[in-house]
Amino acid sequence: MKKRLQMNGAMITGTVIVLFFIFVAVFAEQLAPYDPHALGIPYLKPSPEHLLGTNDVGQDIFSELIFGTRVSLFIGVFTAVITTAIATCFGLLAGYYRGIADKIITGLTNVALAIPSLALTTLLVAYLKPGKTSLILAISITAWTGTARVLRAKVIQLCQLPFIKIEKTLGVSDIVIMVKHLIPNLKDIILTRMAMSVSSAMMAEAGLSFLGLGEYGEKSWGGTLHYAFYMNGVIRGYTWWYLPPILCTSLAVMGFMLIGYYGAKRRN
Amino acid sequence: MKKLLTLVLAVLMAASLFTGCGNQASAPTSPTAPSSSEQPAGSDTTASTETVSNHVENLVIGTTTTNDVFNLYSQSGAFGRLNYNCVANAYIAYIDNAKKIQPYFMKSYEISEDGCELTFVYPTDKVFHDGTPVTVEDIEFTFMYYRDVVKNSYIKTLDTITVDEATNTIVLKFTRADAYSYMANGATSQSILPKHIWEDVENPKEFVDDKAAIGCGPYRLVSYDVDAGISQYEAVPENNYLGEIMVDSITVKCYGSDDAMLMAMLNGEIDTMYNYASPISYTLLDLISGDANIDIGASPYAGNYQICFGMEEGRFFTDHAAREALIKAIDWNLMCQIINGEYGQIPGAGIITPSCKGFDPSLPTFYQDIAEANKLLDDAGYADVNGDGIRENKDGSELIVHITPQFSAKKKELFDRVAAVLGDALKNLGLESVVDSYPSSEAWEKEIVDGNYDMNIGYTTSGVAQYRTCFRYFVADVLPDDVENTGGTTWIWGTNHDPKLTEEAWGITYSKNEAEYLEHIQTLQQMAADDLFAFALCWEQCFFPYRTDKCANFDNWSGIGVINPETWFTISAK
Repeated sequence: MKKRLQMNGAMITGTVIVLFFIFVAVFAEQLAPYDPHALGIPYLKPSPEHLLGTNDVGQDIFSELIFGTRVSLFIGVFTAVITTAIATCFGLLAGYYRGIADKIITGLTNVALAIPSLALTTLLVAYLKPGKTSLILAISITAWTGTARVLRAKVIQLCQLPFIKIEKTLGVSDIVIMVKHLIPNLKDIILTRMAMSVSSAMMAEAGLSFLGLGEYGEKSWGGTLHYAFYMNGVIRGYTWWYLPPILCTSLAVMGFMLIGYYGAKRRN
Repeated sequence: MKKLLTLVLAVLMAASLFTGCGNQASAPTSPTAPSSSEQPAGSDTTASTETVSNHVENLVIGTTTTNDVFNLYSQSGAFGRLNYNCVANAYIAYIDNAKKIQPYFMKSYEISEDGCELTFVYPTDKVFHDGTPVTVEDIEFTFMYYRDVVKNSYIKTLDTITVDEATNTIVLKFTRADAYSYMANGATSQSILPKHIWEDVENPKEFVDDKAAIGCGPYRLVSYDVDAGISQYEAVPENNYLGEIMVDSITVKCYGSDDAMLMAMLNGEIDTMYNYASPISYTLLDLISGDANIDIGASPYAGNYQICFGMEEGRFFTDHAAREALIKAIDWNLMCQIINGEYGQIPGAGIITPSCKGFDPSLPTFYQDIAEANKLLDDAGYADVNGDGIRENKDGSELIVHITPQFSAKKKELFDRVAAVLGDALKNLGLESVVDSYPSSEAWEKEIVDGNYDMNIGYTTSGVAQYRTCFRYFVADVLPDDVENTGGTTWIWGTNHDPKLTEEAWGITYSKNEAEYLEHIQTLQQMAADDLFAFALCWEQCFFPYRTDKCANFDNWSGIGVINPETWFTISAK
């Protein structure tokens, strides 16, 4: 069957949004009017000089947002890659071999699912050295479980199909079956779940940074929001400070979620 | 049968839903109140009509300190913190708004000329909250308890106690001239303990019992609800230490945050607030500034944020030129803006704030001059050897300045912002810096005690600032005879081994009289200005807001607010 990309409106919209943020992240230096770390006059209202005003130490909020895109995307994408890779490995091993491997992985998944992920992530980040690596590690520890479960179920289903049984009978090695036959048949699920993982990792990063668990000096959307709240920006009505990071996070998360609708029409 | 049981259970469950809808979420515990005592009615402040017309019937105080520890000895929780103002306890003496030591429980005190003898006239008509009278045995027991059980450093040289019941005098004789030091530090933080309750208590901090809250202060704890964070106190008329008690009862309400507390004040739920050394942030003033019935309670703050340089051998800031250069490179306006908004004042070189006793106004105020700062480093030999735009050490080795903010969950963001301004100043000097942040106070303290820092961003609370001052945080050593001194060896966070600094800084604590105290303060300020071993980041205004429509005669003490040891005797209902 000739394969072609199944486009739909949601996916196109999502792709446009994500591409926009990728563009902003890549060309942050060129797009940002100021160094986001440069100090200046605090609490300036939006003006042609500072489109979104300045924060409590006089840093340009617009430039902060632009550079914040990098951190949010970096953590989102890397966490998604890690969690999807872990989930794919576990799903394949459990679904393909069954038996003791399945029991161990399913048990592990159940344990990981039972742990409240936000609490564990917060605890881990609080006790690890603050930084992007710690954030990615902490978010990844519990974020793989859902995808692993779905993939395991799908692998079990695929293994019952004749073409896999024939391959096994012919003595084709397990690794070849997994890589050449199972993974291509799982790609829709993997890509969809990965897109979802990016958005949930971005949300987790924003949440942790908002709680003040981000890296010192790192410009992220959650961090911007954190300081806006800490300096009582909401009570003081500094909408230009706290609304843009919320909008950016929401829009980027929505973008990745819409990409997750890839192939939705075909499946329906 | 099964249906009937289900029905009964359902009715019980439905009924239980309404148990939380009453006036009180749970039955409050009454640890000390006699069975006949009545709880204060309502939380609103109204004038009592039964007794004297201008009595405040119930003063409602908001706090953000948890309200869950009720131990006369402990300084934890809202109970302990509020007791700094003599509520359930009665300090032997207190420090008034003019920074003078005034008698509180004792009727008067006198220090002998040689500073070794302290004579008190004690009262005979005061009572503990369980109804027993305060006797001279309780007073003697208290002194001995603080010396032998608590091992308080300020009373460790107490030798003998002599009582004259005919004149109601008690004389404490010290083995050295510690009488003034005891009055300034010990007596102002020690209350008379009931012997019949505390005589068998060997670990006072761990004493968990309803009796632990029984003191001889002007107010008796009558009830508390830990879940709701509310506690109630009622006046004990006999314990009228500073005159007639004008506030008949007190309600303390705990809030989750300052903004929630201020909202409650706006709504009239609370009359005032009290948080030891934690005034509200200037960023919250917008919330209350529009209400004509709320005074923001501004006053000069005694405490301050400060930088203490790491002075271990080989550290960058052991060089005076480096310290001076940094101070000249700081954007002081921005620093003050961050810490205290438009209210912040650029500090002087003596560190301690203008509201502290012995403040020297003649010392220079800091200013920014980046060109001069860079010249200082150039002249000192810190050059950019490899041409990367960053200065190296004098020997050409890599130079990275470590900025270490004190661990504080509450002040982390502010410390981070201060670190950003300091990092910017270092950048203007062509110096590279890193900010070392630690996940716990233990981790931070270990690094500080080990001297692994170049600049420590710290904080001196108003309580410490007003007597012991920030200088105690800069010394690395204690006095030779203080090695076993548990009170003196805590919080040794400095790395400065200068024997003169050690002598002067501890000299404050062990001054024989006020003149000697002031002499030490003057010397230390001058040393700080000359040597620049540490410096203040801002002199602040602090804000302890209160409502003005219910009570009159609130006296807003500098750095403390309207809740102070005299409040209970001076305010009146409007």
